[in-house]
Parts: sequence; structure tokens; C-alpha cells
Amino acid sequence: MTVWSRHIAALARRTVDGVVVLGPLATAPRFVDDPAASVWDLLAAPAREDELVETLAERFGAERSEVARDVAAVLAAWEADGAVEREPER
Amino acid sequence: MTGDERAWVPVLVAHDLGQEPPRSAVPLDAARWSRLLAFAALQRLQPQLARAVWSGALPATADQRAEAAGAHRRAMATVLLLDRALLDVADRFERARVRFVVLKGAAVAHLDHADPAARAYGDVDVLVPPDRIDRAAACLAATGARRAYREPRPGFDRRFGKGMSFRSPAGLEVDVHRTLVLGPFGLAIDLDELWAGTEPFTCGGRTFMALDRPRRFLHACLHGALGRASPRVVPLLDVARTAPRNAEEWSSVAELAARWRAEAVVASAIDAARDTLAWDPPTAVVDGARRLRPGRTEQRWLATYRGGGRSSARLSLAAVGAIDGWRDRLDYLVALVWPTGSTLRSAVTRAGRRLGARSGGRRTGVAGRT
Repeated sequence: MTVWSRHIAALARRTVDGVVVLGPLATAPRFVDDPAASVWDLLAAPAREDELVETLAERFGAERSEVARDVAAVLAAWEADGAVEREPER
Repeated sequence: MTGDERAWVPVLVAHDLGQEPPRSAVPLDAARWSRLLAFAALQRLQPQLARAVWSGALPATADQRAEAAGAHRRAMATVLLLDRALLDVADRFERARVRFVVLKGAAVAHLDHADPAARAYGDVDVLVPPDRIDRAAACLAATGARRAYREPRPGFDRRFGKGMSFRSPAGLEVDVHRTLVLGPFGLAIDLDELWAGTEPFTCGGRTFMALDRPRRFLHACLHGALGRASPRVVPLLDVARTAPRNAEEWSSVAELAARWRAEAVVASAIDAARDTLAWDPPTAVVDGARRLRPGRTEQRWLATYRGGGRSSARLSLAAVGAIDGWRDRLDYLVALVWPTGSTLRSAVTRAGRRLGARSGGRRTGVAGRT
């Protein structure tokens, strides 16, 4: 399972209802609202994608498959912006 | 600020001050809410507005909550673009061997707030040594950034200027400072002493240097008390956030303020922060402020920044008194009255217009920049 981490040069600010992230490859800041924004918080330390899904499904009482789709989508967007990167598997 | 706007400020900033906000019971009507939203944008208080609304300190309708969150989001998007511009400036200055220190927004956000998202800002501010200011300007010009106003005469920026302002092709403002404020108080600052206290912070994976806390506080006081004829809220919030926390910190501030002839400014900024923010300062600040003894020259300088009579001409004239040596004073005045490129005739006309008497009363001033 992929391990994700924030890119060191990514810039971000938490807002009252989400997170604004500017990855080094992005042309403009990207806003992600809560609860998906929690993925950014959890990536304060590198994390496996299934761990992220598990944590968020439990925290928000949501269907695991639904959370997995949302997490994958937000990670893909941030990866395209260079805001997150994949680490060698653990 | 109108009385209505002043009344909102303590509610908006209470969380930043660790104080209990005054609470109101019902949401504002549409007209007052629109004014509050515009006020928050003008004063760069979008984070404070969003937090006050979302914490319930300021009751709001669902639409108002969404608007407050949107304002915070847009403010933070701007801040991130500015942080990226700062990283770019850092790369360029490093290659050109231009030492610099980050001032105001980005520095205060990262060092003086638990969450940097609590501080909105609208430009990049850096301090560079006087002997590197031309090189810094060349670095920015090479990016296509345009300088907002010309140097009056060669060497003016390095010797007397507050600094210079650039606008990048993307529309972002980068201000390069030689000193902390326009006019006499800026010229009275010992720049070696200003550079002697710095503190690191990290942004975008890079370590930057900022002024240390006593110098950040003094800068906030200078900006808060002198930046505009009527103080803006965010510089006053910076005064509160960077204020000395104990007698030892106050002692560092007081020594610098005395040497920089800024005691009147510090006293004024503390008063303005208390009045505008409903700030309850630490005991060290209250006790220390009572012991400040500003001289008459400081009081006179301070008056030139205040009220409706403020102008760059008045500030420039007052600044003469802060310049040591008749030769430097003469060079300064010549640069302002007779800038490079102007003809003798235009210089005399300018000087006559700005220094001369007018019917109905005397009007004194010296050509200068805003």
C-alpha cells in the first residue's frame, strides 16, 4: 500500500472549513473542504493510504469504500500539484 | 474607522488576544453584515471574522457563515501566493548574495500565531542592508517586476530611503526596506542595531530569518502608530501579539526604543492597541509604558504623522532633523527638491510650490514621496 507524505515545499493554510494548499507544481492554490481536508492534517506525518481511510471512516462514521474514493481523489489532485508525494513502501 | 466598525474589532480579535469576546445575541442584518465583511477585507481581518462567526462569538446566518469562510479562504490563497513569491525572492537574493530578513506578514504569521492562518497579509516585505539595496532592486527588476516610484537621486535609497516597492508581473507587491518606516523615526533607527537581533522560522521547507521578538514589537509599534494617519487594526494586533511577556523582554524593548528615539511611538501604539482592540496588556507592558519618557523632539515628530495634516512633504521636512551632519542633510534636501532629471526651472517651481507661502496662511513642506 502506498505511503504518502507532504512535499517539503508545499504551502498550506487551514481555514475554518477546509485547507488551502499550494503545491510546487500548481499554478493556483487548491481548496479542499472538510472532512476531506483532514487528509492534509493526517499527513503531518507520512501515512499509508489504507491507514488514512481507516482513520477517517472511523472518525466520521462513513462507509469505508466511500471514504477510500474521496481520499484517493484528493491525493491524486495534490499529487498533480506536487503537494504530496509517494514514499517507498514500508 | 467609524464607531460601528470600532465596536466590531474587540469581537473579531478576542481569540487572538486570549480574551473572552463580547457576545451578541442575534445575527447582523444584511446591511450591517455587508459593511462588516467589507471592513474585514479592508483591514485584512478575514481570519478573525471567520473564526468569530464559526466559534459562535458572532451569531450569523448560514449564508453569512459561508461568506465568512469564503473570505478566509480567498485571503489564505493570496497569502500562499505571497509565500511562494517570498521563496522565489529568497532564491534570487541568495544567488546574488543579498542578505535579507522577512518583515511583518509572513514573519508574524509563522512566529507570533499558534496557527499562521490567523494572519492575513497583502504583500511580501523584506529588509536588506543598505549596501545591498541596489543589488536587491536589480534582482527584482530581472523578474519583470516594476518599481512603484523612482529614486530621486542616485544613492538616495541606500542613504536615506525607507525602501522601494515593486509589483511583479503577476500583480504581487514586494517591498524592499532599508529601514522600518518613512520619515524621521525611520532615519533615527540604528540599522546595525536593527540587524543585530534575528530569529528563524520555516516556510515552504526553507528557513528564513525574521527580526527577533523585541524588534518585531518595535516594528509593529512603528507601523501601528505611524503607518497611516488613522491606525489600521492588523498592525495593532501585531503590537499585542509581539508584546513583551515579562520585565526582561520589556527591558530589551525599552533600551532599543530609547536609542531609536521611539518611546513616543511605543507609548502611542500601546494606547492605540488598548483602545482599538480592547486589549488587556501584560503587566510588564503596562508598568513599562508608564516609565517611558519621550522627548520633545519625538513628540514633535509624532505629530507630523498624525491627523489630516499628514503628508510626505511634512514627513520629509521633519526627517531632516533625524539626519546627522549638515552635508548629509543638504544632500537629502537637494535630492527631494531637485531630483535627477528635473530642470532648474522645474525644481524651482516644485520648491516654490511646496516650500512657499500661500495666500490665507503659511504652508510649509518639502517635496517627497508617499
